[in-house]
Parts: sequence; C-alpha cells; structure tokens
Amino acid sequence: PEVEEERVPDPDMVIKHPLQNSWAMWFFKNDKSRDWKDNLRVITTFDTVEDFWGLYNHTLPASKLQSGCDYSVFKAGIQPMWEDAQNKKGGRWLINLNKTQRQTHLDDFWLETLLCLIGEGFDEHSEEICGATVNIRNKGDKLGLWTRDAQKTEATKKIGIKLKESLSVPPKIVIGFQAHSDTAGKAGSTVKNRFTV
Amino acid sequence: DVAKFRKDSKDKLTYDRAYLMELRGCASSQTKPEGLPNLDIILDKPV
Repeated sequence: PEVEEERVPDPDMVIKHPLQNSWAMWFFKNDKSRDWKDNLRVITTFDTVEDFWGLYNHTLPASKLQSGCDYSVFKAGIQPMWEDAQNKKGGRWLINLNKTQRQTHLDDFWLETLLCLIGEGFDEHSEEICGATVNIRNKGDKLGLWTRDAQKTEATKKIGIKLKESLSVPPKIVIGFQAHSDTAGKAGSTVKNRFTV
Repeated sequence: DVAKFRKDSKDKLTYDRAYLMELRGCASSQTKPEGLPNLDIILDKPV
C-alpha cells in the first residue's frame, strides 16, 4: 500500500491569519541618562495571528522585565503616550497588581489583554481601543487598557466589563478608568476614577 | 489551507480566545520574526 509521506509545510507558504488591525509592540527601558522619548522604541509591527505569536514567543515575559520597563502594544500609528493625538482625549482602564501578583497573575493578564486586542474582542467597541501597556515597577506593576475617548461613557464601561471578564478578575475587586487629562502632570498623586466596574 | 476567520456583521476580522490559542502551536507561530532589534528582551528560542 502506498504510504503518503507527511509533508512539513514551509511556514512562509502557509496563509497566515490576517488581523483587523496592524499593531506595533513597544519597549520602554528606564535609562535616566537619556530622554524619556529616547528610551521608548518600537520592537516590531505585526498584522497576522502567527506573526503576533512569533513575536510573543520570542520576547521575555513581562514578569521577567527589570523594574522601570514597559511593554506596550498599540494600533500602528498611535504612540504609547497620552500626548499622541489619538490618546489625548482618552483614558485607561487600570489594573494595579501587588508584588506577589507579578508571579501569579501578570503574564496571564497581559496575554489575555493582548488576545482581546488582536482578536477585536471588544466587539462593536473595538474601534475605541488604542492599545495596552504593562508597567513593571517595584512599588507595584500596572496594566492599562487605553481607549480613545473618555467621554464615551457606555462604550468605556462595556470595555471595562469585558476586560474584567476576560482577565477573570474577581467581582469583589474593583477596577477604575482614568482620563489621561486627569492623569497628565500628576505623577504620584491620586487620580480620581471616572468610572469603575 | 485557507485561513479560517470569521467576519462579523460589520465585516470586521475577529478571533476568539480559543482559536488564537489553537494557532499558537503552529510552525509559523514558533518562527522568530525577522529584523527584531538587538535587545536583551529578545529571545532566540520560543518560550
């Protein structure tokens, strides 16, 4: 009987799964001898599911980054800073993690957030999404999901609910949404939440 | 192999978590992208 040889397809010949958006992954490393902007660089952009995984699988997990570093994934053309024209009027859903949660939750939270971004998991509100950032800090890590327009109450709340659900954040933990205009220039002080879920 | 993806009513390409996770194991997903900068956060072998 004829035995069909198992052929290993050339990865480049297989059709990759296109994403709705093209995304850029950024890395920030805190080097105080340089300007903030010079410490921020694009690692690469991707627009297929496979290229996302290729990148994800070849970068250090967020929990292994040094303190002071950030990863950001934003739609191509949007810089991961509130000053960008597409972020200015927006804000972020913020999840604060304590020290033990870096080992237990951070990598899962970050991956789940990325899967919601690239898969357009926020349904009809996906257009409101700009990107997401994870900040590694000694005083506590932060995960932020950035949206375009802090005035869009309904869309913003639905995005927050979906984020909380996707990350399996327990109902008793409340997460808040802060407008960038309230955060700007207020390093260290407490910023009030516009919404909570 | 034709890419399996679904378009919603607004013709948007969406992927659910399960399908994205399924694609993680395929050969192209294990391939290191070309042209990555030389940084210590970049790994040679997949995690």
